[in-house]
Amino acid sequence: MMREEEHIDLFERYRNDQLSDTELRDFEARLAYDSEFKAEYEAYENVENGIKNHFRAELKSKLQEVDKEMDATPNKKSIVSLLAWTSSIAAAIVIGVFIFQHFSQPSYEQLAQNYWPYEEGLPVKMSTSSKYDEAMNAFKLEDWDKAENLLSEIESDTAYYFLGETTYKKGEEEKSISHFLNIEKNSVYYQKAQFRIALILLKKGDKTKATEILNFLSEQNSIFSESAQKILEIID
Amino acid sequence: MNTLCPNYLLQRLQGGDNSPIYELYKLYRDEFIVWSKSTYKATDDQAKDAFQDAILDFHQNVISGHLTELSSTIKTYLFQIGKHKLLNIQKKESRMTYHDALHLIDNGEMESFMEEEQKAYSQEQISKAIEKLPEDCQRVLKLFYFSEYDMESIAREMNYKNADTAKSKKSVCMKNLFSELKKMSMLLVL
Repeated sequence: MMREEEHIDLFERYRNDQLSDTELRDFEARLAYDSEFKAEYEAYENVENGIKNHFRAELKSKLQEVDKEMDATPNKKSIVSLLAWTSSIAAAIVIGVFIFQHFSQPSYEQLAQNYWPYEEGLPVKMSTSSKYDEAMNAFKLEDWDKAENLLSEIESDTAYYFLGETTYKKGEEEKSISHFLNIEKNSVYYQKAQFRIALILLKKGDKTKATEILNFLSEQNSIFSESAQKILEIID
Repeated sequence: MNTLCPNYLLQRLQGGDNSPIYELYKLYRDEFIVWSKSTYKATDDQAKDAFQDAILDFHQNVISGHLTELSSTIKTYLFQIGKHKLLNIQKKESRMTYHDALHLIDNGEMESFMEEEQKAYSQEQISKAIEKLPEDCQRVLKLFYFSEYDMESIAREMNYKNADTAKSKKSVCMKNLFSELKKMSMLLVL
């Protein structure tokens, strides 16, 4: 089989740029004409990669352990369902109403936060420039004030959409809704904006209006249909 | 101090403290799953797999010194890598489904399959051989190949006399590893 052990010192010196000019020339020439030597060197490289992969897999398996821990803890959906169930029983009595008002709203807030879609921003390319570049750089750095100022100077559905996202991140929910509402129905951002409006309304406890929008989205053939349907099932 | 402050976090990772990667994973995993499902119709498993790889790449880039400062937030960085990982996973899985159905593989796949077959040792053999090495050898190899430490840092970490001692130790460990691999290959032949 392989005789890599005999050449390990040589391979290591080659990999660490420690061969003299003559040794390097000899080494590379040998790789070219001696197929057995070349196979040994390739086996060495293969093992080096295997070592890296082994320790990477070890770390990945630790993350999978974290998955198990996270998934084993009662998930938010079941907490929300439990709260909803508790509320429906308790609704028959006055104290139940109190419990519902007191506890159900924070659950909606959590639900809205969990379903709030991640927005990566528009790509900023080196090769071309766009009027959104500076605002997008600020957006990606989460410099919300700067992003808001720059986006406010632009009038477009794109700008309204990112203004809605930016002001939401600043905790200015009313302002966020008003920006999202500026978006035209035929815009590519319309459904994205509507979904976010529904989540903000849900967070604010306006279940009726939120349900109306989520129903609309769940019936559309959009990327939000499934999420909207799931939220409706949870809050039902 | 906020333990996830970007600069502090990079410093901790560079110093060999791996705990921030678990904190980051716990913090952003669920959000990444929701985003992947709504944007790319990913399954939970695909999203988790992609995000784990994103975290590992981030970790690798920091400890190897390729990433010393961030031009975006850590979350944006992770989501960007995660997105590409996810698309690759989906691409790979769709190809596999197609092949499973037709029992066919194209030339490119055949080449990569043949390359894998031609490798001297499989990943499984290498992993088993590493696990047979003494603890100190495993650590030296991990520090060199995974944490990308130089010999001086390995010497410091392992309490060796100097970089030359670390270099000799690493060489011995590699020889032991090949010796284990050779034993395994012989067992397979028998």
